[in-house]
Amino acid sequence: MDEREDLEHLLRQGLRPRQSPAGFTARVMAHLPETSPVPSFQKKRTFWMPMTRWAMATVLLGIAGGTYWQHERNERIAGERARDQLILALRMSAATLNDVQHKLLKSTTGDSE
Amino acid sequence: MPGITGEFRQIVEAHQSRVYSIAYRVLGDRGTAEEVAQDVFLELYRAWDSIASDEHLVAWLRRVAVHRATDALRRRPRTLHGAARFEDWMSESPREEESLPLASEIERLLLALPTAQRVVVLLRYQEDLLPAEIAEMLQMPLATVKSHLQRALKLMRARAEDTLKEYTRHG
Repeated sequence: MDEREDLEHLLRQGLRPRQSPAGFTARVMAHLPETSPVPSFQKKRTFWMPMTRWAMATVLLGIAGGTYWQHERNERIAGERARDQLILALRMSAATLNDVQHKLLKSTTGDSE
Repeated sequence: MPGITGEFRQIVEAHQSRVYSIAYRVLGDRGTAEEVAQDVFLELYRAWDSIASDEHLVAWLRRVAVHRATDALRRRPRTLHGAARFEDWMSESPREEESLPLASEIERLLLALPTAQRVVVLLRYQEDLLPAEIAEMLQMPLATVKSHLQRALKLMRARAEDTLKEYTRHG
């Protein structure tokens, strides 16, 4: 080995990585921020994570159920209203018919007398 | 997210020596080196989603450690990082008991180099990077990297000829 190679060899030996101070890892971990970083590929998949999926499904079912219930209620009210109107109309017709019949009977009786 | 935290802990454990060594050998100060090394890992945590592979991780740690350590050096003008104060530093700096004598001597010689030369020597002999890889990492022309290496070796040899000869002789 020539002088340069000697020096390079010594440098490689002398510059092996040093041991870091005791407790280094614990100190780094203690300084980590509260919120963990999420790799970008996980960020993109957040929607499809089970919790999100279930929450979304529950909300959608709730909205669909509410809409259906409101629709049924409106139909029932409309049906009841129509039925009431029909009954009223029938009652009025019956009353009118009775009235007409009564008048007819009266006039017929009057003529014969 | 315990999964990510656990994985991150393993990464810190696996790479802390490398990052700390870069910081220490650029700065020459254990306290600041630890602060810089911690900052590098916290920065890694924030940049976690940009790391694509193990090779990318190592290159990222090397690059950020070098940049953060040289930044810290610039912010601390009193730190020894110039050849002119080599003799002062040699007389003041205490030997570290846990270091091998050779490692201590080499680190002393390294710390006496100008910053650019020191970083190039560190990347060449600690990190075992080729001059072309150093040039790419530091965004420096290859000729400049080679020139820094040659000058650094010449300076180190001249400054510690006796010590190095002694080590060479005793193997």
